[in-house]
Amino acid sequence: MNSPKSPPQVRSLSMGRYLDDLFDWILTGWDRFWFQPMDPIVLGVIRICTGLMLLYTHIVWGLRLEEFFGRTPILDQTAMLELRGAKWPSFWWYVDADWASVVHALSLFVLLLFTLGVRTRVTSWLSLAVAISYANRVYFATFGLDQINIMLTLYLAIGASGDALSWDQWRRTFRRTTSQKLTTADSTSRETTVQSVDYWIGPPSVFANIGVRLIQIHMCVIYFFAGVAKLQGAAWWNGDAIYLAFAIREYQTLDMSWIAAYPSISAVLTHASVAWEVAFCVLIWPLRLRPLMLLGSVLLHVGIGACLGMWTFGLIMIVGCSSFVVPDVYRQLLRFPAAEPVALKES
Amino acid sequence: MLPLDPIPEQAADSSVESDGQVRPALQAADVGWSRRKKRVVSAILLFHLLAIFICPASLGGPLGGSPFLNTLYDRVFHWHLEPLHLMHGFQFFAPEPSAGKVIQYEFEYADGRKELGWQFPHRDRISPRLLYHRYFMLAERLPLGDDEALEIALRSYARHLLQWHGGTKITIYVVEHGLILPRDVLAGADPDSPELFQVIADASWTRAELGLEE
Repeated sequence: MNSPKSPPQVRSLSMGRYLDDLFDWILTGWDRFWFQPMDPIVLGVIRICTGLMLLYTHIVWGLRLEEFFGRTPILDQTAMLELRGAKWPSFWWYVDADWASVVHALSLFVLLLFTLGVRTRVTSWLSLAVAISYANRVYFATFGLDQINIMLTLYLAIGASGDALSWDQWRRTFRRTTSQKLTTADSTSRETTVQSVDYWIGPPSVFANIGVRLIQIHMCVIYFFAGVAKLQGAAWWNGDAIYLAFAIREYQTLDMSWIAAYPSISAVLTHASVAWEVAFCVLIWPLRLRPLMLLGSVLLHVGIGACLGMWTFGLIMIVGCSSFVVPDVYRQLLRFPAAEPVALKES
Repeated sequence: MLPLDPIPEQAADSSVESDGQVRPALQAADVGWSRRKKRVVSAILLFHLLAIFICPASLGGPLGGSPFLNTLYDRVFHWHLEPLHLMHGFQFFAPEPSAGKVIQYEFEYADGRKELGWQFPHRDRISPRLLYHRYFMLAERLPLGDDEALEIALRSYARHLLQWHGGTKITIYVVEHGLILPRDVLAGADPDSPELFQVIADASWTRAELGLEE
């Protein structure tokens, strides 16, 4: 029971106290945001999706390997050097055209291992090297897909993405249980401590959290600047922009010219796109609004994929947005039990 | 192992809006991260976050960017983001969707015969769509405002095309495919009508000029 109410204490207002409080608040928030352990399942899902997209992207490079990486490529090394001002990192600068197929095959193998989560600590960084090397070598043939592929791979490498849904995690758990069986007399009682979920999802970690947070913040930066840049164009204010985007014949995969007869549809889609992009960095954080914002993301990118043919870009943006899905949702979808709280470690 | 402490009511409430991170009672699982380690990682994170924010901010818009941010980016963050291929403005369809670009080319042979090559991007000749988009970008990302850079890029394309297709001379045309206005769509106009195509740059080279064998 509460004691009789006493008058609330009035704290003396002073700039010094305010700044102290503000500083404490920022530090505590920063610490909680970045340094609390997180279930690695989110990064596990993103690793598989990004790995598959990387594989597809690079398999497609292979269809015209000679034209882009051969003896007389469409973007020759001298031109790239002059246009970009420096030889930005790429192993392709040092690969003889005769070896292009071998290097390409090895690159695909690395990406496959990364997707499966095999030796992820190594293969994630190697995959990053592969993705950057291709993008830097043929810079003028790259677009948003390559940017997001590389961004995600970098953060997956930082975030120890092999701790979930990976060969690495399965092997770790298998070895642990096997060694326990061999060394412990009461192996049956020990065995019960290892659940099937442990074969696929490792313990929460700070690195998993940092990886997810970096993806989330980068997605916010992308949408914010995508939205703000649009605000500088008249067509994004007068509502014509969506019609104009659909009218670019080189993009068009679906004939959307009928929108010309319904300018209000173009206007609604134009204004909704800009508002959604600019607001994303704020409205994605409250959990109650998050499903709506993610739905907006899916609609926007499926629309871009269907109408403008950029399915790969649309899908990888949705993968980036999936970093905002809380781990328990992935556990439910994959029929894993909800994460159990981690016990305090004995000191 | 010690048993879990019960989660204080206030903390449990606050976890509702938290983000899939391990909840308050679990913070102690984070014993591996010393204060010093957190400070070092925080400094790196701050630097990286500043970089990924300042890069697109420094690009500005049609009226130009901030000289201060440009200098800051060039002197400090450029060397961090460029090698990682993270230096992007994210200006998708901005400031507004504009006319598409197409590269067309014409070969000239020793007997004086001229032949128009395929253009790129070419929807019917290049698939899957991702590969088509690679060629689309080769046309779209040409540095049109910089004559010297444009010539370097077109020269590289010319060298490749002439080597592949043969011929003694090549002329490359950068063609803008104008957007059809809504009123023209409603009047039944063809979005691929020749009037909508306009050559905005062209250049010619012989095999010798491109350093190819005769």
